[in-house]
Amino acid sequence: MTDPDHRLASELIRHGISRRTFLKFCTSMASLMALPPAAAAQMAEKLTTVKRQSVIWLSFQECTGCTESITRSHKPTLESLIFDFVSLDYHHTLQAASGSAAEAAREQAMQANKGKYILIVDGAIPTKDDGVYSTIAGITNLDMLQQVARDAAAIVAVGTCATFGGLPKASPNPTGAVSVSDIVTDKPIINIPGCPPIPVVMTGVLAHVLTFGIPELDGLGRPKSFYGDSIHDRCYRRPFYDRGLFAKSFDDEGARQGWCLYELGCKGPTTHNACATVKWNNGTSFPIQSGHGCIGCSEPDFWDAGGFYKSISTGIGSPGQWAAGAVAVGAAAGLGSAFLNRSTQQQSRDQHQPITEQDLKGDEHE
Amino acid sequence: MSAQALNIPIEISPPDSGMSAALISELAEHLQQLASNGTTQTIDLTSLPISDLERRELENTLGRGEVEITLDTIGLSRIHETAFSGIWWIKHYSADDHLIAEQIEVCLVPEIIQSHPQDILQASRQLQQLGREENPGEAHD
Repeated sequence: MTDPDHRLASELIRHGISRRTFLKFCTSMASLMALPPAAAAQMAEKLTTVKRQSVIWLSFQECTGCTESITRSHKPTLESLIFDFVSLDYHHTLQAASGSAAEAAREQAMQANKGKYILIVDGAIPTKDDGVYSTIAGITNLDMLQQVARDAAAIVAVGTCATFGGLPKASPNPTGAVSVSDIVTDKPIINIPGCPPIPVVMTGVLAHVLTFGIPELDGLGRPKSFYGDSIHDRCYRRPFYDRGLFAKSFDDEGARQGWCLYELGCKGPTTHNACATVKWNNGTSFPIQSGHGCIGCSEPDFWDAGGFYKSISTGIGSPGQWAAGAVAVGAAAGLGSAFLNRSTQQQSRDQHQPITEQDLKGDEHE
Repeated sequence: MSAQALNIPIEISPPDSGMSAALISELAEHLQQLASNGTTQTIDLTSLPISDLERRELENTLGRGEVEITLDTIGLSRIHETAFSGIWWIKHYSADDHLIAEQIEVCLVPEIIQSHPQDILQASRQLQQLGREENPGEAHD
């Protein structure tokens, strides 16, 4: 009765997970990604014939929110099945082993699955002062990423920190934080941004990678099936925008009527993510549905995009992009960082915009 | 601040997209194919630009047939044959009862209902094992 291939299907069936559960999981994933319905059966068939995929998960300069997001469930869910489809060989928050045993597990997985493992990264990589600002087991994040990426089949960057630098990179970027794709340039990288990303978006992309390989990506390396539309395109408040009906403050008549939050700083029109369709907390709601504008957390430099309550029409994006550009040029030119630091700190102070009561009240009371 | 509850009407009723009528003619085509050469088809309603209201209207239009099936695997799946033989309506729910996928399958029996050959093989081995345990003497006959 033992299966010499240790195929995933036989293992799961021994754990009481039926093929119908497989098919249901695959149906929900295929549906979520708008794949043709026939893809569900193909996915299920593939999952039953592959070996359990080795995954190494590295957490760098981050808040653990991405791990919280993907593991957050109080009962067994279909999404959590993804953990049965992979062999999570290293994840320093979730694994039982610690210290040198944990690092040994990582090295063993890298050796045993050379060229075949998937590397998942959450968190940005600090590069200033040789990367001393974040280390694991005495190894800098920069060194560890380069070591582990070398023999990975593909890399999945999870969360806005790993994909675009995120919060650690926010002006004035004291640690010189950069994204995975700034460091690794010779491997396929899938970016799943969001602060954090939607859990089913992470599991959906992983299921796709396990069965059909790398999904179709947009210009920023994001899977088109989840990041192809803007929040604004799919927002249920869109008809109010089209009719020119805008809330002018968070407690005016327009806000109570559920009108468009554009003038209160909603970044929906410039943000690509699946929140408006997939929603959060098992499809319960998303920020705009609970009355707050989108803050654009799945876009590069969202933290520096000119204030969460400033309307897009007043201009967004300059401070973060300026600072990022300066760091890149500085690094390339080998400039001493002291000058650069002072200038970015000054720049940051000049552009610091505290949120005022007036911002929250909007134009109505001006 | 008054204690009176605010009325925040955040759901808006969408206009008729015409999807429902389009789906009925698509289903008629699929059903004819199933009848003539056995081709099965699946329509994924979750990813179509169709409102919940229109979906329920389409479900009502297609009606209920003789078969209802409940599948219990990490949340329920509710399946029924519509009043049109060969057209099955499938709803998959998560463990906490959220609808996670909704499909119409044009087929003899929905794929997820049929026993899988590998599962049958496994079951057959288990049953033989059980038979040997229940009748330990027979193996030596």
